[in-house]
Amino acid sequence: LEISIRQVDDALAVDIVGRLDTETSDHASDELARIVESGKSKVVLNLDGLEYVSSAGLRVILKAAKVLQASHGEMKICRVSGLVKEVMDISGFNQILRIYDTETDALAAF
Amino acid sequence: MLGTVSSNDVELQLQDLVALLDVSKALSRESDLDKLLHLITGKVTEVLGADRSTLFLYDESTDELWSKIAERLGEKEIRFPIGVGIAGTVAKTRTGENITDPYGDPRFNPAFDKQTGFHSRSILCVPLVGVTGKLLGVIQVLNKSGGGTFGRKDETLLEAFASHAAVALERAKLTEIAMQKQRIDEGLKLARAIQMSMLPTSFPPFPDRQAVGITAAIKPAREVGGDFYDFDYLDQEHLYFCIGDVSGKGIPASLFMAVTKTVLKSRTTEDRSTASIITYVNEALSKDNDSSMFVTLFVGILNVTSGDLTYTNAGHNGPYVRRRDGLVERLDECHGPLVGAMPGMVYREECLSIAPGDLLILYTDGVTEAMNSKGELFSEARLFELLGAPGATSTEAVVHRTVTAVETFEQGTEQADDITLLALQFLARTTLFEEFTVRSRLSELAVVNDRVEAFGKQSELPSAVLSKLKLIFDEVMSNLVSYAYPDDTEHDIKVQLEVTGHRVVVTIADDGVPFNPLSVAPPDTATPLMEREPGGLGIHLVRNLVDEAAYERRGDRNILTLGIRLESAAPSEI
Repeated sequence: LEISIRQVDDALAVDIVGRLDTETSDHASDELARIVESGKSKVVLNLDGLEYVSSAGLRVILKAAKVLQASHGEMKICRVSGLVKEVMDISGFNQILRIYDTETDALAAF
Repeated sequence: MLGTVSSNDVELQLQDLVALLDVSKALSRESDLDKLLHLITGKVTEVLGADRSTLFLYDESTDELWSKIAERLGEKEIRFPIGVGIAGTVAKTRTGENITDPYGDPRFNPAFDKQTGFHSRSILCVPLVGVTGKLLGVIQVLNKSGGGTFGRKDETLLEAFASHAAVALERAKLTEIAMQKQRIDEGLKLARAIQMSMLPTSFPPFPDRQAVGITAAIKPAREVGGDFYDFDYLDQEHLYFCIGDVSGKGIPASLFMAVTKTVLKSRTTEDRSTASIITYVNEALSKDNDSSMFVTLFVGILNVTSGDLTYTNAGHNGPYVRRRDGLVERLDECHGPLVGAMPGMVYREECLSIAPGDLLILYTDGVTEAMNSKGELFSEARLFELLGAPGATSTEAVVHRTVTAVETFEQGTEQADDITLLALQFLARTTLFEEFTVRSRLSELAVVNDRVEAFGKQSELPSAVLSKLKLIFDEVMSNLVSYAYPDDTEHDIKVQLEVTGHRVVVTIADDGVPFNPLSVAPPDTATPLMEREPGGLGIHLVRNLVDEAAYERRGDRNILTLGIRLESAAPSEI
């Protein structure tokens, strides 16, 4: 799993590439914690390169979103397809976080 | 000629009465025939003060007298017809004789004296007649001690003695008949136990494998006939199966069956040619086969990837194939003689292509030769008709329907031979099968991912299906590690992957606490994730990601079987 960040205007785009599962969740949790605690209030997770996300991975994302929310920031998600979308739909995650088709849509919605 | 005397005859002296009572008591305690015969002759010799006594038993079937006991001669059987010699005469007339000068009596047969060097000076002989008036035998007492002859008192004593001995003998004979019957019953039970313990009787036999459905049934006759069947995966691709019928009945047949089945099975570990397997088994069985038993055999090996069936029929009833479209054909070629009769035989084999849906029905002649009360046979024709009839699409249904039909047919008659059926249905081609075991720790997920990756490459699975498989393992394994083992130690988790037809089937077996993940109520997905019951979400994901899910508690194991259809599995790939 690789997590990298890009500065887009006043927002932070986070690319998550690989598998977000039990094996990688600790690493992902640390990385996302660092990002949401960096002081940025607008964070977009770009999941285009995500092979799949398991329930352990969902927890990591949710935890980061909650930390951000507590500091009056907001997390949005974009580029969700295939198995990742399926998991988001089944878990009801799509009702908890705003999911956008493209990164542009997500950034425009802040 | 002797008069009829009862045991309370006034002429009996007290000491004789006591002796008789002793004997009577001893006789009443002894029900073993051999011991009883010894006891009677011993006591008679003692009480009458004689040199020797012999008890000849009457053999109704040959109308002869015979004896195993001739004291001081050893255990030797003597036989002679009724009417021959003094004993024969007594048996014939059922009247006692007191011979004071044997060599002067024309009925006396001196042959025994000549043979043994014994000199008969006096003979007292009385018949043993049972309460129902049946002749049981004769007691013959030789040579009154001290050189005299037997007197009136001896006659009376022996008569009284004989009536007691007759009762004891009759009872011992009845006991022996009962015991013989019991021995036969035990033999029947043993033969059946041998037969049944040799056969796989758990169905479906391979619940984790999707390629083949198998059902078998055996109804042993009262006297077991030595029918058997067997099946097993020889490797991931080859399914071996056979049916056989051993000549003869009872324990010998069941033992020969056990040997045949074992030799067959052991040969299959290195041999995939049914002709070669049977040729080998024939050599093994016909060598040193003193009992001249033999067995009819049908052996098949089905390649579950290609659907190619290789088979050899050695003198067995030709099995039937019911094709997917309902057409029934009989495999009636024979590829060699029955097995075990003659060494040096060479067997051939044949190949047949089996398609998914096709069903094979193997049977023994107990099915086709089942007889009804009119003496008619169930016959090949009836079986053929039954197999071609609509319905009964699964192996289970076919076997059940056939057994029921045979049972109905032979109602009111005793089943003469074992009735054995084996049905095998090719369900789907297996393109790949793999199994491995991992330990119950999260770091093993990396191992599982590698195995799944390799399996996917080999079977050319779409990458979305592979991701789904990895996700499934992630959820199931982490669940097991967290909740299945209260003892907090590491356990084995067995994983099977199979591509069959247009499906991938995953089977995960663990020996954790009994837990059916499919019985867990789906979580309320409207509840925020963090507030939900742990584990519930993962299971919910798995259930919704797969197309089929089944759970079974088998022994001490939880077996979770998950199926993913391949056609619809990868919308993101299109």
